[in-house]
Amino acid sequence: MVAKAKAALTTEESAVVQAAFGNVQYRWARERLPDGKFIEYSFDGMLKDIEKAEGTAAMKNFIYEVSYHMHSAHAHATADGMRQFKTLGQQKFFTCELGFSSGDCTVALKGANTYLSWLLSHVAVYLGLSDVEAAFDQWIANIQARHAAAGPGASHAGP
Amino acid sequence: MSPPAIDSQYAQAVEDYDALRKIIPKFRSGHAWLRDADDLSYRIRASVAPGTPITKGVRRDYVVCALANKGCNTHASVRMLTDAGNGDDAMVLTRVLLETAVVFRWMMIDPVYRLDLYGLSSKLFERHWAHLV
Repeated sequence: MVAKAKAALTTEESAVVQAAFGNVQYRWARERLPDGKFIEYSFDGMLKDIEKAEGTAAMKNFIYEVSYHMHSAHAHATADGMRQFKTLGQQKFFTCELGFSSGDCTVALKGANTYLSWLLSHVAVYLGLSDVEAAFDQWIANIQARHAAAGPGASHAGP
Repeated sequence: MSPPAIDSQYAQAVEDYDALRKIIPKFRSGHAWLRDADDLSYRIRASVAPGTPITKGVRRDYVVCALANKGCNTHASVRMLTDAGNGDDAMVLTRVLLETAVVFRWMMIDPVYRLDLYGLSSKLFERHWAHLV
């Protein structure tokens, strides 16, 4: 998914977007420090914190890369979907009802599967449900094994 | 990519989805006990003006489980949209799910303080809504 999105963005487009918007990281959380000052976290800042706490195993690296990319202002799947430029190109006259959208359903569903397994495996850890955590680990392991068997570059849409 | 190849990749994603959903009932059979409200973390209490009584606490387990429920519901909604061919809107919800996962994992780095802040933030929303209406 990351490779696909990067390939869709030209150097020229990237430079123009950078010139127009600059750094568009926005605030996601704010914590009060003991001295009364506040520390602000961007989404990227949160991910860096998680990376530092969790370490960098192969599966985690994948999640970080996709997560950073999903939140980059330059090649944003959500913004792309909302703007709908691509689908307009399929019309000669504006109808305001085009039917199926151009977003990749497989990417969306595989991404959702990955994020839910990430979320729920940590919820299981918090609740002390080791058998549930093991079930999620097994789910991930099955998918990783399938990809290893298929060879590198077998999929563009995540695990 | 050819249409059959696209269908095949989507079918695999659906199979993975179904396998993941089969794990979710294990939470119910795990009978995780939800603890009652605990005192607000020291770091928050220390910042409240002296003399202000604090009578309420935070149900941290409820915060965690609410996020888990939210994630499960969003995940199911993504499937409804992808089955309908609405990939753009499905991608929007997938991003919401990513945000839920990252915010949760980030709170777990410093769970007591950050879960308290997350719980308190809902009160902030309620206050904003009350002002609006």
